[in-house]
Amino acid sequence: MKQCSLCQKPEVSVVITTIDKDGKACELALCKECASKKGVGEIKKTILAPQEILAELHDKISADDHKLICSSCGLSYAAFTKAGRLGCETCYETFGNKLEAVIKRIHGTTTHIGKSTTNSKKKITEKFVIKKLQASMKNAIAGEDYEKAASIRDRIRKIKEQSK
Amino acid sequence: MKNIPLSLINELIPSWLDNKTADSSIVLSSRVRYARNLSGYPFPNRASQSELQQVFEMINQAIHDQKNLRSILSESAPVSIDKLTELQAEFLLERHLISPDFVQKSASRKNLKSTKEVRVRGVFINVGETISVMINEEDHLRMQVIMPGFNFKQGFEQLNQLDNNLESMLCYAYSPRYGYLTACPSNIGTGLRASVLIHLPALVLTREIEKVLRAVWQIHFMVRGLYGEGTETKGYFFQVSNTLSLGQSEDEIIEGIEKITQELIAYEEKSRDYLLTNMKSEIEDKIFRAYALLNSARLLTSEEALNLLATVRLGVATQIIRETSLNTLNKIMILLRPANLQIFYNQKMTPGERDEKRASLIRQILSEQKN
Repeated sequence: MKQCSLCQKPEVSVVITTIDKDGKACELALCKECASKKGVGEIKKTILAPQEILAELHDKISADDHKLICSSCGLSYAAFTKAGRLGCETCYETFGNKLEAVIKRIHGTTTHIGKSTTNSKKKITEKFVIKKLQASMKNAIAGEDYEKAASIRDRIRKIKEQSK
Repeated sequence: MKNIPLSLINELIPSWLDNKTADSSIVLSSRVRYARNLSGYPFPNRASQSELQQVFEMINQAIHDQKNLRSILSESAPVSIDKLTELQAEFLLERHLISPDFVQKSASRKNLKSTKEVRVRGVFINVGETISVMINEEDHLRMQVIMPGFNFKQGFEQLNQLDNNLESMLCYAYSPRYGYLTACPSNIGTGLRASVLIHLPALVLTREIEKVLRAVWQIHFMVRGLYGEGTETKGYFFQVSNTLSLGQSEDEIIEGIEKITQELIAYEEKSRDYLLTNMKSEIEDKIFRAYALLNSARLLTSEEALNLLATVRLGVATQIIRETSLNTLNKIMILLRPANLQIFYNQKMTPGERDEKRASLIRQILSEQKN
């Protein structure tokens, strides 16, 4: 096992490669204590984890960030920087360039490669909408609002036809 | 409830711990997960109770409408998280079937007010406990597949199939530029996280681990403890996962984690050789002491038991200990967790009672296995 070049303790936390007078590379192994005495700290983590990047954002908040609000879910950019979580898919458009810079810092890129999806007609969504409409149609009938019920019935028919 | 037959213990063990692959002494499991959200609904952190409920019902419906999903998942029908007791939720967490976040949120929600018959958060789990689908965690959908040992290929295949099946029914939040959209911008793109649960005792004992982990960080992989974000590394177990989900294809991410896992295995093997050549008696002593303690102790906290187990595991892997097997140790590893122990014995216990039961269960399993 390696030992510290200075105090001979059998512990090495940093190895420094230096060039001596004759131009030869030589290794200096230091234990934690000797390293900090010599002013050689732990090697700084140069890469920040995503959560650290998100946490940093909060310190750089500006007045404008409170005014930048997502039209769809009501989340402000300032609130996003605090929680590190977005409120909905529209936030990605609303927060435009600012968010893009964050994404670039986290991932080193802003372009997706890989699996893609086509949101054409999806059965569940349709089925779900129909279910909801049927419920409100029932309500309308119960409330004797037949005109409304009829218009809902027509909408349901239309959706069903389109999905064929 | 003095002696529980071993066959019963076997039935209670998740199949991903049933380890028969070659690298299983170092790699415990390979896990992959996708994060997805439904288009048109706010992410769970901004969604109203009724929106969460709608999302829940849509996903529930999608799973029941798909023949192949129904056959895999509907047995579990789904487990409604908000209705679980704290102990049951912990049990699932200890088995890596739900996330720590999911447990906490359900606990805090319960304190708010008891909602009527509203299902907003739940999880589908298959019988072998290799697949879990969480609804309304940080994202609307978090699906994961865990495979025993070093096996990302098969795990990813299953995950992708699961995702394709759901995708044919549901509208996902997706942007051509950023890919799949998630609540946290760190998950966008593929929404894929691949993580390996790996046992690196020799790297820790030779103090090479820091250097190795630093190198892992440098190439954008994250190292965490046994139970994910914010948990300590216990018993020489580490979870290594990709941090980047955007700008790489799914296959590239899988190749990346496979490559780093192979390197960690090679490095750990080298360190084991070093230990056995240069510090043989010290290592043997450490291993046999740990084994003796597990065989004789009358009180064991889960942390102590896990640490001892991890040392014995090294002993079995290096064939210093031949009386027990990795499979047995895997079983003990899951059963010794506080909630699993209590569910296994079907009784609530104080920490002191648990330490006693834990010690006796471990003694029993180890001694029955010798016979």
